[in-house]
Amino acid sequence: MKWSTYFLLIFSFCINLGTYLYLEKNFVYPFKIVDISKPENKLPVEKYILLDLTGIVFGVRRISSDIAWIQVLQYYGSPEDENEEYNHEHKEGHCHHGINFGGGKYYDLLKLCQRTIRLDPYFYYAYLYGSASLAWNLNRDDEGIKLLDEGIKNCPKYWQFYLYKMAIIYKKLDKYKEMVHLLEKVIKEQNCPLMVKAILANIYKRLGEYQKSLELWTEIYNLGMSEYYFFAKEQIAEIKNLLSNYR
Amino acid sequence: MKKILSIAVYTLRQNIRNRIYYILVFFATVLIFVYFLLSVLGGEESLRIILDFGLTTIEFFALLLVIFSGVSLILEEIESKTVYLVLVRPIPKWYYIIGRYFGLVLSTYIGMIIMYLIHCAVLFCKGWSFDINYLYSVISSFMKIAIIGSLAVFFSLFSTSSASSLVFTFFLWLLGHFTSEIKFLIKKAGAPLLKILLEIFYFIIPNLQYFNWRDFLGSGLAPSWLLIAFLYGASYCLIFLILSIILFNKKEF
Repeated sequence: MKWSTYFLLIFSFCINLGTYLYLEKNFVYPFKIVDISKPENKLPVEKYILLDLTGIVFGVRRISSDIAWIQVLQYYGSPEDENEEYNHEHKEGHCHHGINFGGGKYYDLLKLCQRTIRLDPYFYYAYLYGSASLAWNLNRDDEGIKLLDEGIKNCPKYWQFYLYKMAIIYKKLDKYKEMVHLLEKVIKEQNCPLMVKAILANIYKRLGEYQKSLELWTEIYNLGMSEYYFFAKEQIAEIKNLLSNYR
Repeated sequence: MKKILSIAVYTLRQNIRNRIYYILVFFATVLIFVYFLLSVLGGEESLRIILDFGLTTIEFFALLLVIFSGVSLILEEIESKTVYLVLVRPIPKWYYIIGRYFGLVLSTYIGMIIMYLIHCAVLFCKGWSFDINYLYSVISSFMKIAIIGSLAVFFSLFSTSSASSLVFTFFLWLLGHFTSEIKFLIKKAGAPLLKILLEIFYFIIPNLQYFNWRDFLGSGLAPSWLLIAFLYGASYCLIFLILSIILFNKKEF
């Protein structure tokens, strides 16, 4: 064996060691590693622990988070368990009428959203959608704020969390005018969930501001096929009818 | 250099003619289209679903390609004695290892590029606008494959069966993504001896988290360490290729 081979081996080893030491200092692992055995770090949904850990071990956190997100949507989009105790007016699940669009109990929604965002703390949309659903659809303002607080802790620079939090706080304080003002700002953002637009349209309708409500529903309808498409169509017809009666 | 290139081209042809190669690339492509349908379940985040699932699938299928081809690359030639056809020629043995390795990695990269192009086409159909982070993810995945390729070649010479080489390589792939958690365990370890052993183990295994850019896409991080990470990856590949050459030289034919 030539000495040059060993020299090259030692040389590459030195480079490897040097880069390793540099990376140990400068590489930023974006996810917080927590000791899940501690009670404060207890997983929100324990039944999916194996699935979630597999994702982390395989280095596919984002996919695990995506799967968790799909499960959130399936949970929130499906009829609630018939054995579950709830006083919802429509036993089939989602209420698709008026202000209560997306209403129900959905007790596990916060936990499922927390699972999603703990797998990928940078999944901004999950925070926004989850908190808006909890606060405006399910009337659980505190849970919505809790989810946003976690978002603020994980991504303090993402200013939209503060805006949503403020809007929920105004709702809690029954300051509807201020809340509507904030929501108007929120819906101008590109990544604003369609659901928030629908919520604002419903609030406008409840406040008697039919023209504004109609404009928003038309905007939602014009987006094409979405979960709100048919509901938006119904709302447009209803508000147009209300407006013609009003005139 | 020409001789290395000839061996690399020969390996490239050999791999591309392999039926498994086509099956894996075809299957991955089909899956990318399936994600187009699956993305509907993601509601307004459908683009994210296609992006994440696509990037991961491509990397995973590339991993399968490089592992399955890599572990049998030299071992099969030794067993079938076709390696003599090359070794009887006046070329150094290390030319053979380097040439085979380049051929292996190149054939995997070709498969990956095809899959990435299809993935991009699917994303563009969904209204995606190009993001530089996508390119970082692609390059990072290429580096991961290069590292795993060098490990596959090393283990194919180190162990006597392809099955054990396959297991070793795959195991290191897993551990490579588990490094941050190992580091956490080192901090938690009480006994000093255990701590030292874990430190050594941590250093030996390739830290694939440096190249896991597809998982850091939304984090808003700037890839300031990426260049150094590539140097780390390249040196890691070089170490295992030199070790493979040493092992190959020691083999008696």
